[in-house]
Amino acid sequence: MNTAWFITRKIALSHQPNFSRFIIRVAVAAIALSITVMIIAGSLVSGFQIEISTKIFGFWGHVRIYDYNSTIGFQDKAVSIHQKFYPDIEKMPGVKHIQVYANKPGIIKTKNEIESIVVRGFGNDFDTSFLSKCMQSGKTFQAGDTSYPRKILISNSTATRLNLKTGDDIIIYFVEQPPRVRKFKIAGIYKTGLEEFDKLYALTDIADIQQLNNWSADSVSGFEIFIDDVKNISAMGKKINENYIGQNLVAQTMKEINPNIFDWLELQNINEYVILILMTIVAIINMATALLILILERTNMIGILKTQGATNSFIRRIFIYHAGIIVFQGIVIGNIIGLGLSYLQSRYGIIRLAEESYYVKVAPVHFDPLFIAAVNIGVLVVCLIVLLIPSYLVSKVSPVKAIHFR
Amino acid sequence: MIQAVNVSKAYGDIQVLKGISLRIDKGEVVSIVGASGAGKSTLLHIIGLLDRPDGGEVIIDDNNLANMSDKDLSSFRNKHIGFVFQFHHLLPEFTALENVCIPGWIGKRNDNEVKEQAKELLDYLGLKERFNHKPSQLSGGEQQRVAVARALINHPKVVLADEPSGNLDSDNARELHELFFRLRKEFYQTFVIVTHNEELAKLADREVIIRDGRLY
Repeated sequence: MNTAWFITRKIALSHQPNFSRFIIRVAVAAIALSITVMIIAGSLVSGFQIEISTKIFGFWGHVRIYDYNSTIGFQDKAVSIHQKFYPDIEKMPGVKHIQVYANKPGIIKTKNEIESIVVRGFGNDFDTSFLSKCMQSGKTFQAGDTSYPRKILISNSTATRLNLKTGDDIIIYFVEQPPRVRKFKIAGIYKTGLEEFDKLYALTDIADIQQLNNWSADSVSGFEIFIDDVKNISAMGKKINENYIGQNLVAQTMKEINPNIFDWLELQNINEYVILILMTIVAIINMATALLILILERTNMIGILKTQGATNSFIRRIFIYHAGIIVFQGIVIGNIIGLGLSYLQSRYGIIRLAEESYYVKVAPVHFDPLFIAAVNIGVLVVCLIVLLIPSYLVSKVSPVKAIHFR
Repeated sequence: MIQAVNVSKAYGDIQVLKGISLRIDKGEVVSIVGASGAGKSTLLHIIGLLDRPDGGEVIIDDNNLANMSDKDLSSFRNKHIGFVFQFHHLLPEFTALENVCIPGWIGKRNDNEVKEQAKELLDYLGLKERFNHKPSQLSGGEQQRVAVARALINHPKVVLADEPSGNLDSDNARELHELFFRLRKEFYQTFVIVTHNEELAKLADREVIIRDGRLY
């Protein structure tokens, strides 16, 4: 039988002296608060990172292959679609999909406004699943539609600024010598929430872009590759570069193309770490105080057990177990509150954000069971290890003095 | 069996014990008497390994305890020494039976064996109906008898009692004293009793008087 645990259970479940009871409640509340804040902070930060990167990757794919000279000029360089990786790269483990794209900068002109824009052409292989979810009105269409005027999708941000709606016709001027003009019909209005991308891009059939660029149907600006697991993005980018990329071409991950957004997302991790460390310190300080008070309140019991031959380590174990019970109670309550509040946020979107600044309307929540398990186990283990130090006070209790201490 | 040789102890500038030598044989009941502050309890604590002497040594059954680590002393105390104090010092959260069992459990003895023996002891001490009572539900005399059972659970070589009847009325005190002598008679149990109670002191096989840190 584990006598130390038996004694702990008895004293933990018994009617504690008032002061101890108050201190234990404060300690449980402190642990619960720490766990709550950690779970909410972690779920929000990871929800935020996942939501925004999902938008970016959904719209742009994970890896882009294009002619590296395209980065120099205003106009993309043509790349042949006859590449050994197209579309065979889809057979490579970890790759989900590859699609072509072609860009062409232009200017939209309405009666009262003009607006610069990049028209992005998509082909038959375009995966519309992400874009379909972003449609505010109208709907996406397939490449190869020959109706006139040509169909185009514009962003909500462009539509608002130019006061346009689905079904309207627009004129776009493409910068050529002499300038070329095309009429489009707005087939739909999308909104990804990534303001700086939304205000820049409109989408149409790739055939139009090829024609405007005087390219053949075999020429595109580049390829977008979607991978299965975003965690492997850097490794996949490297692998694709090493194994598939020929002359003049380069494969870049979205993280390399848009380092500013991803660095900003990474920066959220630092906020999260600061919160985790501060909350752990709060938990430890409260637990250490509680443990010292429990030991002082039970000096008499310590003395009695010592007279009966209990060793210091046996008695320390009683207090560490007691602390463990308190930490465990705090962890259970903290999980209920933390997960509960996170669930309410994910269900009802109570915390709202300015979408133009944060790319999302509602603070997103992501539950990562591994993170939640790590927070729980981490707090329990760190608290108990740190509490070994105050528990040494037990060895300072003299049984002779303690049994006279009533 | 128990030997204190030239034991001295000081608290700060006050020399409490000034070279005390004492021998207690198996089955003997020895009472230690003296004025308050004469050093009776200090001597008892040193014999009971709760305190270390500044000089001299304590030998129990040829074990010289001066060189033992705190851990070994705890284990020795658990197996071989039982204590009864003026106040019962039972743990309030535990039943009478559990209080008696705790020293056995600390000594890692078999759970059932300890419980059986604790029940026998409590039964022997007239507490059969009190197994599951908490200390607060027992009378002063009963509390002290539970404390005696607790002291006996590990079959100690000696029971050290510090003013065991100091907190009891005269009837309960007499009953407790009779119990000590019954235990000596039936189980050959050794007792060292610090007391102010003259009746008890006189009943003992030997009465040692401590005055100004020396034995007389």
